[in-house]
Amino acid sequence: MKIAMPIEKGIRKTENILLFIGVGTLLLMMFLGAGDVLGRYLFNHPIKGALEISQLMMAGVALLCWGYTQAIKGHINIEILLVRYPVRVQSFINLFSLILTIIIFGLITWQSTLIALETMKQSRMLENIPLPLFPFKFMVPVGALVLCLESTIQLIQLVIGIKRGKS
Amino acid sequence: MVFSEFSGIIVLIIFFLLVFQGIPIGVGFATAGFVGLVWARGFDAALSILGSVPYTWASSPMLIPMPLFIFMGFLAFQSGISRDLYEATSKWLSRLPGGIAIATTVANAAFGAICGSAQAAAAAMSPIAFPEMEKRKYDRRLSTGSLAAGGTLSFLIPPSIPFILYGVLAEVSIGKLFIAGIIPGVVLCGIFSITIYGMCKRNPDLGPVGSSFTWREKFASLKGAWGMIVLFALVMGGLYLGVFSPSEAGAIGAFGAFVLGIATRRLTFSGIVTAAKDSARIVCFVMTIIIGAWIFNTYLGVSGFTTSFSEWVYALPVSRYVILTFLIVIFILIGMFLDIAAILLLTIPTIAPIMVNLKFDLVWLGVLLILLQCLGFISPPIGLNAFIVQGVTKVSAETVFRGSTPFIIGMIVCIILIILFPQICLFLPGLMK
Repeated sequence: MKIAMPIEKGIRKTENILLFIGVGTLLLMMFLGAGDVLGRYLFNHPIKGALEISQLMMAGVALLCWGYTQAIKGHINIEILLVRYPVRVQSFINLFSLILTIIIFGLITWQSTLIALETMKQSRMLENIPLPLFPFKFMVPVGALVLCLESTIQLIQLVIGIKRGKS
Repeated sequence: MVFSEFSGIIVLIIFFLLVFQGIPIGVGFATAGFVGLVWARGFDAALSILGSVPYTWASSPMLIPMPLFIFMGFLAFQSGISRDLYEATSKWLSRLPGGIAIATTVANAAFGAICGSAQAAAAAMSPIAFPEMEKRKYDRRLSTGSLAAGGTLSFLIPPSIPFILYGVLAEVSIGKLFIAGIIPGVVLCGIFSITIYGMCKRNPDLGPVGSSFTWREKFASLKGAWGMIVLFALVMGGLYLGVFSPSEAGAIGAFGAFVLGIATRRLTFSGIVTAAKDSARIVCFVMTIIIGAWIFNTYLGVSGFTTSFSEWVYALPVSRYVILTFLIVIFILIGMFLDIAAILLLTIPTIAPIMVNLKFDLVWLGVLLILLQCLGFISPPIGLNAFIVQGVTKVSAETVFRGSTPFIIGMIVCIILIILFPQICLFLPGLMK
């Protein structure tokens, strides 16, 4: 338990840092898009590569916030049957749900890391901007890994709860 | 039954079993799709698809309008626009029978012009309008039903997040879909208002007439709402005239809402952060569903299920309208149980090519299908908007569902009108540049 607490704190801190980056990226995405349109129509001078940067920014918002969204139980599910089960059955279904989430996102972490490493090895660049592509490809494994870690915390808490007879 | 049909049905059953046991929809899609891919193409191919789909979809240029329009709605909400709209419409309409409920419906439609989420609209308007209707002794079924139904107008009146998803999946212009939703949205708002008026005219106890206001007060009430009206006109006008692409319209809309909020000193720093956090959360869960669903759809494609299903439909010895009727019934049924993004992702990649071959217009079909999903939002057993209104107002879910019944009938009337007169949807897009 003494070791688990700092790990949990560390994961939550990482989630918040990634959320902060995601939120900042969304604001930048808005300014970039508006700047591109205003630049084009007012000064006949659009921002070079604005669309490509916006694509990467959207990926940042969606992927880096995976852990935070899992932490606040923001991924939607249908509870119509779940709420009708006895509490103990609900706990076991939640357990199954978390295990499935960890497996799927664990596999995504593994495979997307291989893809990102391959992109790095090939030294692939963005199409319109002189920047390497691989750091952006790493957003997938980073987001998926944090989601896996958050799900693991929730899984451990659930198991402890079941052992103690709580829902 | 050939292998593709058999395996496709098994994988569909796995998906429904998982999501109805409460597994997150994105995870349910990804798991069922992954199992299917392992079955159809082997473990290595399945792993490779699992690794590549997230980045492909999270960075898809077609989806860029989604986060921007979501952010626009939240910025407007944080600027207090929902209260301004309610204040304005209630001052203009309160003298009518059921006037406050009509005002709430119209305010919801106006809020829908800057917010593309029905849930957000119901959550924004309920805490403002419900206490006012309680004060004036409105029947709770009418007040909660009108709040739940009014929120769904956000899905039809642009910008609409389901239209963006549908446009991407069916490969239809998002700009045309946005413009196509305007008249049906206004028609549905009119049907809701007439429904409330008719009910309260027959039984005045349901929604007593409210206080009267001077013309000066009425015009003064528009002060808080004008900025957003101008913003909507700018964004949709730009799309309509072909000046902006949907991505550019989203950026200008969000930036405009940001500037307006700052200029009127109603958007605080914490309001901006809250709006961005709420938007990021929604973008994240919608994207997770998209990624999961695409893994699932990849399976349906590679296994040959999509092709087999299409061939089966074409071989049916029935009129195309029988197929349309069947599709409508299916959409109403699954709309009662599944989330709108999940339904679109599950069905559109398969049915859009079929409907094109059957000579149905995909813009018209998009409006029709989104309207059908609006029905699910206020129908039992899991009508999401009904539960949001119930959560805010603390009345029983049964009351909200009962209150929604007249509005469900109103929606069915609107659906029939759209089927009989497709020009309701297609007139404005036909004039676009």
